Amino acid sequence: MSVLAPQPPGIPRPSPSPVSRPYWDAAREGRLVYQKCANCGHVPPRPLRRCWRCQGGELRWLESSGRGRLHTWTVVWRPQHPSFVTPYAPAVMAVEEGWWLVTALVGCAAEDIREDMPLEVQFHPAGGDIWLPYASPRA
Amino acid sequence: MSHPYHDVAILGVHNTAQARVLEGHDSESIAMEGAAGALADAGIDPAQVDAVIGNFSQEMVLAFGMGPCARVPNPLGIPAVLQAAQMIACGQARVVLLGAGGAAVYTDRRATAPWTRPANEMVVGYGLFTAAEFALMARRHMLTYGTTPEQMAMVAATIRNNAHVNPEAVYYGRGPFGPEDIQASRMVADPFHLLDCATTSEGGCGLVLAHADLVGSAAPAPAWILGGGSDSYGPAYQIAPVWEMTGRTGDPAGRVGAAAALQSYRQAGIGPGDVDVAELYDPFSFEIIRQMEVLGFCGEGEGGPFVADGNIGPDGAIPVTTDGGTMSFSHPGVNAQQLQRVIRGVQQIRGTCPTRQVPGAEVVVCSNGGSGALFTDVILLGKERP
Repeated sequence: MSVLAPQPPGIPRPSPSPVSRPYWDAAREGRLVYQKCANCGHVPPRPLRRCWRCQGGELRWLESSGRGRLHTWTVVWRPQHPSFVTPYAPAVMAVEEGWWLVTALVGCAAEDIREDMPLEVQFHPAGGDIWLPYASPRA
Repeated sequence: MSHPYHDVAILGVHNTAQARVLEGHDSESIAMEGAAGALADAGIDPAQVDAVIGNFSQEMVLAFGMGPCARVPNPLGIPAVLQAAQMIACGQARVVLLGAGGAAVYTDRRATAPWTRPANEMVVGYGLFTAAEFALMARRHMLTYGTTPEQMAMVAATIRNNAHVNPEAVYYGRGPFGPEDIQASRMVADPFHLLDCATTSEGGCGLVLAHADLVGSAAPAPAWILGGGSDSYGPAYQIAPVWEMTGRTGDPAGRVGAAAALQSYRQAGIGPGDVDVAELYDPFSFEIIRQMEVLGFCGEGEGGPFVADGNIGPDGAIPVTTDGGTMSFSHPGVNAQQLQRVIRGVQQIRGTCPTRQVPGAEVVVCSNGGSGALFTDVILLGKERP
């Protein structure tokens, strides 16, 4: 069976916000970053201005190892937009530092996806100045 | 137990024609038809309406000559019904009109319906849409509890068969379906086959709520508001739909709606065992399995075997989504399909469903939303005023 691959440029692209800009700037450089509260240590579910747990304002951008495990996934055969090539496999990766990343799986066949499989991110251009983190199996 | 909601009844309900495409209509015109039908059903003159809730509330105030009249542009389903009840219970209004509808919205059929496609920056590049988001939640339930695609297919077959016999359903006469038919349909987002998913269509609807003082013997039988609640874990389709994500209570997002259900039962002074019918929101087959658990009809993780044992069929312990739901009755977007769960609940209470009427139905639970959208709304309706 075919190996899941990154989407070609032409798909709908993210529009970074003032608060998420560092995430996309790092992605363009091939780095995965995440926010962590310097006060209470919690990681928000998406880029925020204040900590969602302690309401502190000390969310700092840290560099992730880019490694984690597969938490959940689906394999899509009916694309939400004709620019997407099927099949593709949206997934949630449990990242080593204790946060969840929405991504898509690449580098393996849909049949070989397994719960909890070890993953690492790799970056692929999505058009414009956007690079998307994808997750592929690692040894 | 007494609660301010118990001063409020739903007096009028109406569904317009529902179809894949309603020629000559847009969302405003079909919503207007839904509202007019609900007023007629209630026997309420527009001049008696004190408030209108919905996307087109201002247009309705004008079209029915209701001014001066309060308008609330709240587009949500059950939360809008509860807001109407709150306005009546606290004396802000005595009669509230709700209307909703969708038409001429979904025109580019190469893509999924516009309301299913999130645009948030953290998910848009991965081709997520509602089916995929709910699939990510369903997968966790499968991994944790052993829930199977066959069990999901039984849900879809049950609800689609309710539409098969319902002449008002968009997919009337298309069945009957067995679980094997569901699983034979093409895969959309694993584990969901095409027939595990809601359809898309066009249509409108309306409701009229009134204070107990206006409930007379001549009007249709009232459906009383027994209780209600609304749970959200954040904006739908913008963050990772993670079952285990927690908020202030430690309850996981995968159990969204459990708190709203508990609140609803407490307000009503009843429990799940008192409920006769469940008119649940069915965007994807798995969601019914999950809602059986959060509404308390079975234990956590037991939803799969519970539906497989036939409990949700027309003759089961708790018949579910008896009009055919968003899978086969109608799914017009713009939230008409959310109000339609409540409308069917009222028809069950009245005993007027032309098909799949549950004999002697006295208490109905209705829901909106689901785990993949990180929200679930609940309302309890009753034949008797508490």
